[in-house]
Amino acid sequence: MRWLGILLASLKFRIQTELAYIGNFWLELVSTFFFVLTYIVFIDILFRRVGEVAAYDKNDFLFMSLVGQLTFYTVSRILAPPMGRLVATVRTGEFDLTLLKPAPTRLLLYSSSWRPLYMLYTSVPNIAIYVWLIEWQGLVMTWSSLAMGAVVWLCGVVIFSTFMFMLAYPVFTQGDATDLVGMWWSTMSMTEFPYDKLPSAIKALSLSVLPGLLMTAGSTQVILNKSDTNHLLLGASIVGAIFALIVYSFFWSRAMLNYSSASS
Amino acid sequence: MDNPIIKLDGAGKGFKLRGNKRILSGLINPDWQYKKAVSNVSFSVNTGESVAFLGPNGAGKTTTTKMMTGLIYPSEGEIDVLGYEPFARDRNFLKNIGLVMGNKAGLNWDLNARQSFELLQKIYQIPLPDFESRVSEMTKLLEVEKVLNTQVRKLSLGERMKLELIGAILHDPKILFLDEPTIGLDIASKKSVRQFLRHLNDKKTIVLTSHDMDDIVEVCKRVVVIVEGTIIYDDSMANLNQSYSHTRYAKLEFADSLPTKKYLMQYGDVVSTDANSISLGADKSKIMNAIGKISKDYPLADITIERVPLELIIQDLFEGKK
Repeated sequence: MRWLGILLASLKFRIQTELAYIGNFWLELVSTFFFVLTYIVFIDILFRRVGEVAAYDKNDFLFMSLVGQLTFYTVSRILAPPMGRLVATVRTGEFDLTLLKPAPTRLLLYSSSWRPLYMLYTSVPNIAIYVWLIEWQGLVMTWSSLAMGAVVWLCGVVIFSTFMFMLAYPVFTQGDATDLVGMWWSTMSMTEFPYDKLPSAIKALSLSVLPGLLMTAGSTQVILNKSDTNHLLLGASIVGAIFALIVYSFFWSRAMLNYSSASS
Repeated sequence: MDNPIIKLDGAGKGFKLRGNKRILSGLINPDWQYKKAVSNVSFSVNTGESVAFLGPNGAGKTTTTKMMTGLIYPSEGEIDVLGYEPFARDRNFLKNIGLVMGNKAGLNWDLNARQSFELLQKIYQIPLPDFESRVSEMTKLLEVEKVLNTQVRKLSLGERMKLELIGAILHDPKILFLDEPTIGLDIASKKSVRQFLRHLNDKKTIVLTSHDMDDIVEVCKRVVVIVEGTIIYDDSMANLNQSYSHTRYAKLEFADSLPTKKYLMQYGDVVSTDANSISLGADKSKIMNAIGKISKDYPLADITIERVPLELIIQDLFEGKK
């Protein structure tokens, strides 16, 4: 409960900070809104001509795009900002101020990087468009496939968090990782396609190097029952997430040992 | 009776640096080199002491302070602060130390200080009545109660530093570490911060690092000097001054030409020179006689005699003259 109190206080603090300069997000909202509209028009034109792609019809594709949007906002608003902040503060030594607080460092790091209002204002309108366009009755989805897909997605979040931290890690050893952390953007550009129809070797490889793929295409495959290997993917995701947690924890300890606290 | 609250026993810190800076070959053969920032530092601080930690730039003062606060891991020796190993960053340890860094901002620039304090109240779990009374008392003492609700970016540096100081001790720590707390402040703000620190020292242990000797003189009773990562002096401020109590500095302003350094050396040490004046250091029993003789050969326009300033005493220590 103590940590929850600190988390809520930190989020309140962040909202107060956002309210001090409200309005920065409008241009991004307009930009992403037009991207979504363009993408939806593209999907509409494509599926009018071909009917379906790799056993995914227009409705399935819209659903995958919805999961893709949820994934994008989770990564860009929740997982990436703390790592950007970590790199920036370690470089200047401002990370000292986080380390000195009697609360879990990562809780403070993550919660002090989030922008709750920005997160809501920029994501909800775009996600709402997909929710409105999808014909929910037409999806081949059950409660159990939804639950399994949600677990796969959450495992993807854990794996992506570790992936992001590993991108940031060199700041503790080499002194910078700004460009590396910016790489999350390119790993997110190939996540919305029916990857389950790829040859097995490429499927395994793409899942390994593009953790965003697991969150979007992987969880969609499981939720919509698109493959016979759903249980295998679920099991692999859980094992992958556990391994990712161990890796994160190990390298976090090493990072703290290597922290040199720059005197800016 | 000694009651050590901070104990360092052979503490040291080294950093691994890449010797091979070339882009490609550096990746394959980095040629790691080990550079010691602090070596074999041992001292202890008792409850209620106010200790100045001095040394030239790059001497290892800040590294030692950071090891004591648990920010960096000591690569050798042992450190005990309040019975805790600092690097473990135990919650109770962190609740009982405060660190003020003159060059790092803990307050959010987009909000007012009160909003930042309210977050600290939650993090440190300060009971609300205590929080309110401390904020009220400290803002009054530092004369910043009127700017408590002003956006931090709109404050002057002096006001901001005072509020940073309040933020660092809001949780009532037993030990306060200060690293250049008055850097960049005007004289009035410095005076106010020093008075406040003296007031705090009645209840807290203070470890202060500063290049401003007035901070040291007004706040600390003990001096630890570190040069090239090693402690070269550790004694009371009174004893440090005592070691130079027989020396006086005379600033001689000449009416016409200046004597040569060789001429002056027969009367004492030439400490500094400028366009028309010279500072001469000599034993206090001989300095008046020396000035009398010099003035006969070189007419004087003005004379100032003073005790040896602390910065010169410290400079002598840095240079190994004392």
